Amino acid sequence: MCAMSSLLATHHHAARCGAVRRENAWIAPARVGFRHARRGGGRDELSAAGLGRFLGYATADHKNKNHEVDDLEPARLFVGLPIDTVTDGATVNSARGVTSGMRAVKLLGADGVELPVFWSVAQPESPDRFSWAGYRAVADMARDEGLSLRVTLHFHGSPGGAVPLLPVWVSTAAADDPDILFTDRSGGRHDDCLSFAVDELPVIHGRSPLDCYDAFFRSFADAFQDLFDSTITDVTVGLGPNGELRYPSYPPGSDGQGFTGVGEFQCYDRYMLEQLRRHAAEAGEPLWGLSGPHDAPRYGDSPDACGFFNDHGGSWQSAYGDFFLSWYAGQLVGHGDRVLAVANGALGDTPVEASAKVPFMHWWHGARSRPAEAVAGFYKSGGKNGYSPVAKMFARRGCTVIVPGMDVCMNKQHRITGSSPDQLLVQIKNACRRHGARIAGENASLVVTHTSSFSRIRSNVLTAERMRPGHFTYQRMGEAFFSPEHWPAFVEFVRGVVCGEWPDEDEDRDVADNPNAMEAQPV
Amino acid sequence: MAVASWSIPAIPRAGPTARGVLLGGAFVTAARPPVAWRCRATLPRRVRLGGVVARAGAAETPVAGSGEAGLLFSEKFPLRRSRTVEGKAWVRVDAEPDGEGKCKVVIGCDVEGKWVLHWGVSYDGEQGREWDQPPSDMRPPGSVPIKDYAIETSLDTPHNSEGKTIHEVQIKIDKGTSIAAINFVLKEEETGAWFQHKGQDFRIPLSGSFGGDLLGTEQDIDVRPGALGHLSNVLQKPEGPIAEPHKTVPDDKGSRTKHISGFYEEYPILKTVYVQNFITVNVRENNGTTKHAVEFDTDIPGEVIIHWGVCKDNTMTWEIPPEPHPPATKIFRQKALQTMLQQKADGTGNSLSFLLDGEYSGLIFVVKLDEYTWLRNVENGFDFYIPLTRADAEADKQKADDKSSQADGLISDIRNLVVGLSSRRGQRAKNKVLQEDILQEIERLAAEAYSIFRSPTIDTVEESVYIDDSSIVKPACSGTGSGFEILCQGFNWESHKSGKWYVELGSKAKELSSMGFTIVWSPPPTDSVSPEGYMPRDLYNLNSRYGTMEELKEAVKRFHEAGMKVLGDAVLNHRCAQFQNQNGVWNIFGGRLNWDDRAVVADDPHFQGRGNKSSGDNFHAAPNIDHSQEFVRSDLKEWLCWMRKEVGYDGWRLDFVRGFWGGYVHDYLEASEPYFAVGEYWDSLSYTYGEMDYNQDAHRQRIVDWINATNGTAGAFDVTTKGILHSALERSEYWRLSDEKGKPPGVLGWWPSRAVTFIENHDTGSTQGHWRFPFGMELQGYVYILTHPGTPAIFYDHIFSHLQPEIAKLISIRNRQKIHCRSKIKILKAEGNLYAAEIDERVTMKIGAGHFEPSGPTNWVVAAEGQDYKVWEVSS
Repeated sequence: MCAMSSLLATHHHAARCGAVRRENAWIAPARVGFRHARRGGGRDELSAAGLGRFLGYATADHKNKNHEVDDLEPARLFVGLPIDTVTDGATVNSARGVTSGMRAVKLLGADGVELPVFWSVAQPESPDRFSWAGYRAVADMARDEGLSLRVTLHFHGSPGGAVPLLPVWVSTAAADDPDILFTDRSGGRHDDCLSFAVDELPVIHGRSPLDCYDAFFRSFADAFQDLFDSTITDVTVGLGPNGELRYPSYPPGSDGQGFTGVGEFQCYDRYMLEQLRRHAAEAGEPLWGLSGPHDAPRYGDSPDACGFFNDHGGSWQSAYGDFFLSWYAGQLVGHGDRVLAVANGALGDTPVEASAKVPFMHWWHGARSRPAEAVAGFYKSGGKNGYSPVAKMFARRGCTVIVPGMDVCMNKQHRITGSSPDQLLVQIKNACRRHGARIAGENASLVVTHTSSFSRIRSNVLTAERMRPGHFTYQRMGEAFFSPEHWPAFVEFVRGVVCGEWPDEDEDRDVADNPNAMEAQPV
Repeated sequence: MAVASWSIPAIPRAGPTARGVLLGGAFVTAARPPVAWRCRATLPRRVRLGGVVARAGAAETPVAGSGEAGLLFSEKFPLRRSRTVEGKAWVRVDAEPDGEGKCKVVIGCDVEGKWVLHWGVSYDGEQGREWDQPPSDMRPPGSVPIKDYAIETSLDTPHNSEGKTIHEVQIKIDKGTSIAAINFVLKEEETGAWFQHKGQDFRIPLSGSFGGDLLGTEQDIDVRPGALGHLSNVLQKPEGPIAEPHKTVPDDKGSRTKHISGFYEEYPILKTVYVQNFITVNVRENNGTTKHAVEFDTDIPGEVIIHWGVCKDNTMTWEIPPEPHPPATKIFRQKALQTMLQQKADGTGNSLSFLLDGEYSGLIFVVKLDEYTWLRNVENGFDFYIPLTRADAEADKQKADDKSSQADGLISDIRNLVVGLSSRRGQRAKNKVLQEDILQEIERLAAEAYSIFRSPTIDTVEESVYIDDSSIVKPACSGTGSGFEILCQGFNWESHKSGKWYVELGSKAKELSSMGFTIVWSPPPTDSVSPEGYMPRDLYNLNSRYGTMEELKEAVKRFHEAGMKVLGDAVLNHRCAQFQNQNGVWNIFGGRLNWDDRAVVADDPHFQGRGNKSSGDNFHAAPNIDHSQEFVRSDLKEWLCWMRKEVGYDGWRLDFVRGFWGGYVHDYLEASEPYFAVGEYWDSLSYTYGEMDYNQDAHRQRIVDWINATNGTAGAFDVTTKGILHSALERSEYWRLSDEKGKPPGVLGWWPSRAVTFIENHDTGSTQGHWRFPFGMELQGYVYILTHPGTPAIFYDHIFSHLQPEIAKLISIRNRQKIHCRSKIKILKAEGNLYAAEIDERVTMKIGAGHFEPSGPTNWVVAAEGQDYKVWEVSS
């Protein structure tokens, strides 16, 4: 209990200071912040936490058992808001549902909610006009409920949802020059995703995408200025499709959810090919720069079906293979680095924890070439950990790595695709530990069919290892989330993971003497 | 813990919006002043207080703030202390006949009050609720017959015995009587409270007692499932007048003495009475100085402590004033002061006066009598607030914006509960209660979120006003009928007795239609374990105590011929099983829907269901149906459609819809496409110190949430309005009939087209009387609901009583002036003894003793007039 209570003391102190400063003690979400405990603002009287303790759940085992992590605080629990919470910039869809949902998860013990913010929604019609009203309203709701907020800034769309893919003015630029979009070998374009090769080129009406991102970050920082000190505790930068740093190696028009094929390389737009050509020339192998690998698999192929990823004697092991894959992966890291640099420049002064998401490429993990990782851009020469270069970049930028597969279990369906979520998670954690990057977690999908996924999340979040997620976000609210098929199991899960955190004894006595307490028992 | 010095968390829960209330320590101080202080704790309260005080018989009325030079504030607050009176009731049977060959039964009680014995007899040994009126020679003089099954006899004027007041009544019986038992309940007229025995009627077995061998036997009460759920409701969740003063009949632990000549039994009675006291607070300018003299004066004897703090400006941040403090003051945790008042020399109470710096704008206090007794402002349930500045400061406060106290009501209640409970952390049981409360609230919110995400709509950010959809209403499946409906509840709790109710009701079709009714609500038609029909068993067997299926169809036909629609009473929440499972538990169903225990919810402790957890509250006397099961839903849909087609029902009255999620109701209604549907969502209103809260938004919110979950396909009985009418009429507090926004305070103020207003039904009134409308004021109630928006429902017993001519007149006004469920209402007056409103600019009504005449250019003519009510309409 000692670690806990000293922590609590800080928290309460912080709470007081916060309240004095702000007049309205309610504003802040009151969290034992991960790094920013000093900010901690008001209190959440019915902290989750309280519930957890009430229900008699012990706080996480790590307290006694573990000697490694006594500097770590309990993981914060977020719940994702619907992806289409705001779709037109000005109004909140199903606002009452969002309010009720927030209140429900708050009472249940969540620390905060995650709000997906889309470029296409907040800056829809012209580069000069931002419409933050809808998102602002949601942020205010979270503040009023006493919840923390993690904002995810998506630059790429989410096909299949109600959210527009890209801002109209970006789409028109893409219509003029489709090569600014990711393109696969057969010429299929990803309408939601700008090629990493155009980051610094003035392809959008005279501006480069990075300039646009910069303006977007700054406008966001400006519009939510007053909440950074309190409600908004985390900002997650979307570095690619679905907010993940990766190539859209799945078929165009889908969102990659549920796609378990190897996928295809996405280097066939004019700009990528140009970079490849130049890179090959520099490497003294101009012929390697003419196109992508000719023997790479098609989207749904198995890795053995073609030459490139063959376990034995596949081209990936050749010098060409290493050249191409290194360049391909380097482009990804370079993109992530550039965008995070811009984000740091714009948001560096705000006291929020920066994070970004990596994909959880757990299928075809059995193949030696790790083909699914490789086509998504995760590769390191010599058969080393493909997540390593990315983790290194994250660490350098002080950015937390969000791992979105904390719930993925082995099951029949995964087995046939050579999936190995356990090993992948270890692999990612190793990469992050080596380079000193913090991690956080998400679930890949709503836990409906396999409730064992909840225990898996639980063990991943409440783990005693050093690489323990600083926060976990359960994705996400919506109809299915609150349905009788899902909700009860989720409630059980949260009651199980939420750590007890109840005011210290001496504070309790204050309450004991207060008249209101007596009122609970009218004669 | 080092105590922070920056704020005084003086007194918790400063107001309904005190969202800053903290769990453990500092109770801060929302920046904005809570709405209740602003509008109810300051000026208007004085006005109302006049009424309260006068009614309590005190001569003094509050002094106006500016009446005396230098007097800044003066007010006399009523205080309410509770005192428990213990006593007993007894039953004595003298089996020895007197000179006339009669035996004597004596029923008595030694608790103060005006006691009435409500009783009947039964002739056979069957332990049921069949009551009959006793033969006239048995009735003591002065007895009043109640319908045809009971009589009421006052207990005799008190006479003293051994220094105690005793109320008794004697009933004489022929020795050779065929009467098997006397059944009774006791009623205390002043409070309207009913006393039952373990939730049942008292029963005096007669035939047995003369035999002599029943004397010592346990007077066991048989289980009568029919009423069980409802009765226990009343005792556990006091509602309306029963809530206060709170009386209970605890378990029968009374001594049991054997008399040679009959039997004698005692039942302890616990009655809580309230004692009215006052505390007067005067604030004066202290000549010449900037200080204020504050004076407390109370008539409570013994030790009285004022627990108080002050605030500056309008920050509403509570502080302790600097020293010197008044004598006998303790600092309470750096947060408040506790000052003991000084005994007055004449022993009539306590008083104290002290000086306070002029810089403070307000003083807040509660009165502490002992560790367990804290008295707050009975007017609003909050702490007393004393402004220390003149009215301008108050005006500032009024400006303070505060719009959303209501939405947070529930959640802050829970928080308060947490605050209350954390103090007694040792009590595991309490924690469990809290845990349940929180989880229930979470479930409610999740269900609401589910229903909204399920049928997404774009809400404006401004928040929810339930905009009535007059323009987009779809008559096909709106469940609200034409909007001009007037409902007749076509039965009471006794209607099953004749065995021919359908025939009797059908014969009244023409009469009801000509009175202006458009819909009749018929009793639950299925085979049922209880004769009243609310314990359904075989859903496809429609022969019941109300008559055969053929008679039912004939009755429906007669109503259709008379141009009226017929609602069936559908009991979907629970169903009685026909067979036992291997454990001997009754959870295997029979008949056409031969479900097994998978159809029973898993969390109903009595019935060992194997379904999912209940999506609502459980009804305890029968297996609760698990509506989350697909097969259950499809069976029920089919059944409803069958009844629509086979019987000809036009719609539904849905019983106990608290028991399952409203979304399922939506499914059922979509499938059965009723012309009109109304659900019974009945739970308790909010009370503080036994007094009904003014703001019942949380209560109506629950009902509205349910309607919302049904997607508006069903209306709901406006229980909120009934509850508020009770308090308003009974206590002459007509101000309750306007909410903080000047609209009607019940569901009808928020979602009139889905509110089915009523003042009585078979549960609240009739022979059950669980929550009876204030006696003699029924017409005022009907004036209210028949002139207001919403869909009014009139109770059978009232239609066929002396009230009929006046009710008929009111219905004809409603129809003549085309008042409908979405009519516009403007409240003109809502005061102590007067409520007046104008509806659709065509009708003006007033209820209450106060004088009112409509004004304005319109030419109003009186349309109806009676005891404490008057209705005007526009002359045509």
